[in-house]
Amino acid sequence: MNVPSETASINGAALTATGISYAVGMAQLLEAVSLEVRHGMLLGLIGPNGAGKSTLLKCISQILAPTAGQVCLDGKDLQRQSPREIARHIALLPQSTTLNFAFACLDVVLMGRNPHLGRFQAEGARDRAIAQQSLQDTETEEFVTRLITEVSAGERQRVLLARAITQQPRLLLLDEPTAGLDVQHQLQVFMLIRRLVREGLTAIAVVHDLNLAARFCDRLVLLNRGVVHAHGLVGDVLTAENLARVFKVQAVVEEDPNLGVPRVTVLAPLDTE
Amino acid sequence: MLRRMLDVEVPLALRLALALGMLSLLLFLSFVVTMAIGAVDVPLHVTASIVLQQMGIPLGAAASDVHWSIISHVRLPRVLTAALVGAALAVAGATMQGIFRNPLADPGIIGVSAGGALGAVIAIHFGLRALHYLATPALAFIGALGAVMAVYALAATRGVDPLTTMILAGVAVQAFIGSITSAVLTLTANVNAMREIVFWLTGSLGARSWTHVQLILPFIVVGSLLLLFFARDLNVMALGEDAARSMGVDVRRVRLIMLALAALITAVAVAVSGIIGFVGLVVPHMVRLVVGPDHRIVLPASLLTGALLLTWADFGSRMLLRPQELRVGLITAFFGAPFFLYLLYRHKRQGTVL
Repeated sequence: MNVPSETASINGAALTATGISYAVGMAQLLEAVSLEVRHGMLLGLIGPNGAGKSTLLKCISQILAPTAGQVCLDGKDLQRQSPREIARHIALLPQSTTLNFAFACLDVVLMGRNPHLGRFQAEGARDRAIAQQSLQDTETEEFVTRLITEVSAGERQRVLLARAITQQPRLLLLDEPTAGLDVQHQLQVFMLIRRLVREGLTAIAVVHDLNLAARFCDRLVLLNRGVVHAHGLVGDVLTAENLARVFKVQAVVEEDPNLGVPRVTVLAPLDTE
Repeated sequence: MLRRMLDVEVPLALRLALALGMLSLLLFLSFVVTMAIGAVDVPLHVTASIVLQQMGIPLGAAASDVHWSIISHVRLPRVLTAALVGAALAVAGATMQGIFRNPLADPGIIGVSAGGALGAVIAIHFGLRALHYLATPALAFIGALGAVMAVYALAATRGVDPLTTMILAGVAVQAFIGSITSAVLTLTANVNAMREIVFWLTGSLGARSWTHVQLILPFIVVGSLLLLFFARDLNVMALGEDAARSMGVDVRRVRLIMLALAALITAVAVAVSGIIGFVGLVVPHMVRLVVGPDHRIVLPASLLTGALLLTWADFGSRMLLRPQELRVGLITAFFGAPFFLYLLYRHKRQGTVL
């Protein structure tokens, strides 16, 4: 009788979203989307432009209030919690960040401590230590005093990731974390996320690059027009048939001989009806 | 040296104490110097002791009755009005730039100045001052807040991006109100009223009494202090609405409260001083140049720098063409605009946004 309870504590669902719908005016952006992410897992959200991936991340973090459905983190309903309470458990790295103020990178990373600080409380030694650790993890400690407006796009994305980690979330939501990064930094970012997930963090990432998704995600959810088209293990979701139906491309999926994961080669766009 | 003292790696409390301590000292010295000089010169140590005594600190030399009354009844209320108005405009400007995430924002962007101008012009045109000597500031205040509410109401209707909508609504409301103001101005036949209107539109701090100080002090002090509550939220909001939400900031609520407070203190300032441009736009930039972009320092430092700047601008308006008095709004625009261009040029050369 001990075995089931033990497996439950390791594999128990960290996040469950049930029947999430979201509409703006007449446009139904999400319709009855349900998903589940377990502790220490990286879930990849894939789908064509406009499928509702970013909207889903915002609904999960309650930045947008879903028109229907329920989101629970470790069994607790998020709709009943204040933005501050949610922010202590869930961090989000949005898709694009425009910054008009020349904050030092360290200042930006320290902002991640915001939900943990009282109104007039300044960041203390512990907060600085946490920020320092995130800077190390993202290999950005060398530009602590540099301005966020003056570092390159790739460096900036890593600093912003460091900021999200500094929030010390249990669930990390990433909206195209490697958009605009070169191949080396793409790999670095995903390897870092992978390491954090191994250490117990749970993460959901919107990923456009199907091969990155195949290589780094534990499971995938394929969204199409606000509806879950397929979900499950990488190999079950990334099939030529699914890609043809959802992405409208003719593709070959085979095992990559070097990595041992599915590799997607897109051959041609299919005529859309 | 100063820059290093204000570096990110120095604890916030120390940076804050250093910046605010220096500015407070400068402000006090500026008060004393600008009040000592005028049609009648009062020795500096006498001026200082009168100011200290007014602050409840019985220190320094005894003053003659003439000096006492010039300083405490004429120059002190005027300088305090200047400082309060400058503080209000600057902190409101810093707030607007933070909320709109736009370094070109200014309290005028949401229609405060235009509305205040219309209120004042109506009061002067219809000679309402004969009814009560505070009719002009009262109507200016009502006009300023009315315009802001109109802008907000227009923008709050299910817009895609409420901030962009608000800037556009601000432009429209300003143009609309401006046309009414011009119409009233055209209909003003009385030359004296006309003169008064033009004077009001360029801002003035002449002949401000303790009544003015008492009227604006509570609003500006309380409003500014409340704004400081939200300084860290403003930092987080610099990363964008979604990011700020995900860091626990209730963006919509904070934005509404801060806009209301900034509009209120600007309306109060406009009511007693008329339209004084460039302070709200330029001061936050000057401050950020030295202390960096952290709003926990930028907001209080803007408050003091705005006070400092308008104290000297008012002094300039009294002294430059003595015995003629220039409008203080002319001084701030004359020096503010080139300074702003210098900032633009500097940033362009560094290849960064403001």
